[in-house]
Amino acid sequence: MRARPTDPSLMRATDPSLMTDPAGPPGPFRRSFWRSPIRGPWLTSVFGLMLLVSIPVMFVTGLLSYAAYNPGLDPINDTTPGKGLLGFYLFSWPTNPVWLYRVTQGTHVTLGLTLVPILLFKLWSVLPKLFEWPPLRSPAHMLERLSLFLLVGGAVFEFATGILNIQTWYPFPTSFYTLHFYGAWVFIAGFAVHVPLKLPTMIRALRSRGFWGELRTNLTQTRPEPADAGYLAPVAPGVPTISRRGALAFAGAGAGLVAALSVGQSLGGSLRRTALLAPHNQQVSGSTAGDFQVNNTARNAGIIAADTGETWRLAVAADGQAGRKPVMLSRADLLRMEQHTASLPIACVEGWSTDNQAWTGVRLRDLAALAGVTRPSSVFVTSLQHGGGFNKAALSAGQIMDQDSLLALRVNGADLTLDHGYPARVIVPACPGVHNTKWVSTMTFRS
Amino acid sequence: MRWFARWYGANPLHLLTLVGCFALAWYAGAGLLHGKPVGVAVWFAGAVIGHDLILMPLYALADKSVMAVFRHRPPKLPTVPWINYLRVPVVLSGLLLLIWFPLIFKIPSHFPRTTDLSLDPYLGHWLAVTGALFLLSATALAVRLGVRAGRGGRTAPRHGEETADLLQHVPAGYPDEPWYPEEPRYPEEPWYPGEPRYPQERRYPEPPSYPQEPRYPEPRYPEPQYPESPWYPEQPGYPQERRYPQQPRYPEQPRYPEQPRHAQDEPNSAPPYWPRGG
Repeated sequence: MRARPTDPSLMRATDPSLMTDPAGPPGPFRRSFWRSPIRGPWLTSVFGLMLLVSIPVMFVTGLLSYAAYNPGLDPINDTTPGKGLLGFYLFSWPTNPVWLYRVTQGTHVTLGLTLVPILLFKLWSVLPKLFEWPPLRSPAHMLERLSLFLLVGGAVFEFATGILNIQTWYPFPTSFYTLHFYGAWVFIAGFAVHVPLKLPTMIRALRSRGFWGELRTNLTQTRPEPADAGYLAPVAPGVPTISRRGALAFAGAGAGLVAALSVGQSLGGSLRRTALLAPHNQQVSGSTAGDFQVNNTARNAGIIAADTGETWRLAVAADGQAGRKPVMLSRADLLRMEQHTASLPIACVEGWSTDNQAWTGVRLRDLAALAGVTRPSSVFVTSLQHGGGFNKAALSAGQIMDQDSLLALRVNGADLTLDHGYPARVIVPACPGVHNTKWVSTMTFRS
Repeated sequence: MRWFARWYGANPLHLLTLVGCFALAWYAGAGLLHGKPVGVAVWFAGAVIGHDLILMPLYALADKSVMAVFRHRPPKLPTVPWINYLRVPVVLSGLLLLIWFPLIFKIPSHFPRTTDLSLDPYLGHWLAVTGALFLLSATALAVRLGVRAGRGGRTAPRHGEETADLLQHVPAGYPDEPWYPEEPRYPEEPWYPGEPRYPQERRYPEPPSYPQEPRYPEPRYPEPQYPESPWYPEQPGYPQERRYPQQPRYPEQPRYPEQPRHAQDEPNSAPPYWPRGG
């Protein structure tokens, strides 16, 4: 222990007894350590309000994306089979409007990216609370801090897993779907308790300073929030180097920049190239009219030309009719059937999507009739692809019976390319991209 | 119920909400930790630690270092608060790097194989955006300096001018002498066992008022003499005022948020020694 200076000339002018902080050990555990003059309940509440509006949108669009996989239809569709009660809300995913999944998932991903700077600023603004002293004052305080661990850990965890997944880099210990789905529920548990507990504080703080007044306050006029406004307000504020409106503009600029550099991959068309920093920002430079984004190339799926040549046959069967042989159809047979054209987008769970493409092929309901199933409850589609997570999928009755649901053979007036699923692929309106199975080999209709 | 609130530190509804939260988190957490519990727990806890204890201190340290390095240079060049013209492009560029580093650094992933797209453009895009941000920021700073020069303030020494003249153009917000005390004079109030502990809206002493003025004199009044009566002071309508007219009223103490002491005569005025300009 260091001896206190006894020489009066070494002592500070102020009363030393007041300088020792009885609240805790030195460093960040004292309020006086935190000098930022703009940190305080008001600024935190403004960021909190932004997140309060956006997080529910993120959560709902995330839940919708899970529902879009129709996990209740077949175990093969369910990436998180142990969900139990967490799937209470599931419903049969509709097929119209055709842009439904494109919008919900584009919103989920782009809004998530946009919220990164807001979340970082919010966490910065409440950092002193992490070092609060004493760390646990009462049972209530202990439980609340534990819920904050779920909240902050869940938030960073969800953002990290989501952001890495859209770049198809998977350093996670288990499947992305497992982590992101259950992590979302852990996070929302923390969120659902944080909001009611802090809402009165937030409203009080927002009322303590006028929003428009703050927007008119420049750096010179910026004053710290009074120390008694709450724990976050500085007791020993430093010189302001940025005004509150500056901090808000800073966060807004970050959010706007991230959004502007990534939204193009969801809007598609000529705007795709504006997404300078987003995975699907490049136009696919192919040779045919059918070239647009893919998320699983034939090379990656292990599809070789021999699999898809003249010997390829599609087996269309009816489940539960043991005596009946499956109908084997060649591509020429399929082309002789009644052809329909539907204008549908491809929308991926990773947030990117394409404009509507003109798909031409056989209606799924015609194939069901061919298999002898007039009222199918679902169809089980498998691909030529060996291995990989999504080489099989089940589609619901609504998806089969939609007039735009096709087994596509051609796109944009040309035959499908190998990367787009030649010789035949499923395309269903408003269906997540991975369920539009490519290189289809069998279809089993269930009644 | 009061004993419960006193022991627990909040009302029972608080406990009920939290129990609901933990039940849900437990249920979902079981699914999350199923399979590889250690790896997932490391990821979850690492998310908090990586952000709060590594990323944030690094940012704060960088910010403080830049400020410290440049503040101790003589004010030769900029005379407006320049830090944000550096801070904004650096932080925005860092933000983009934080989000897209797997693409920018071409971390081996499924991306080229599954999408048939190239990983090459991202580093160039990021550098270009970073360059554009710095360029925009530099332009904005130049415009700001130009505006300031046009207003009569000077920005940089012209040939033959003495630099000492510039000392009066020290940027607002960067005084050599801080207007705040180096050490806080009003540390936290300790918690005494008798006080209610929750919610934690504790009252803190008034923040320091600037400049140091003589302390408000403590009023000295005679101890009020209370009657020895068993029903004092719960009895409503007790004519205390009339019976003891000599009992003094304590003067109203000025409170900080309403009007600081230095501004009692001139409301809303800035304190003396407060950095002006900007």
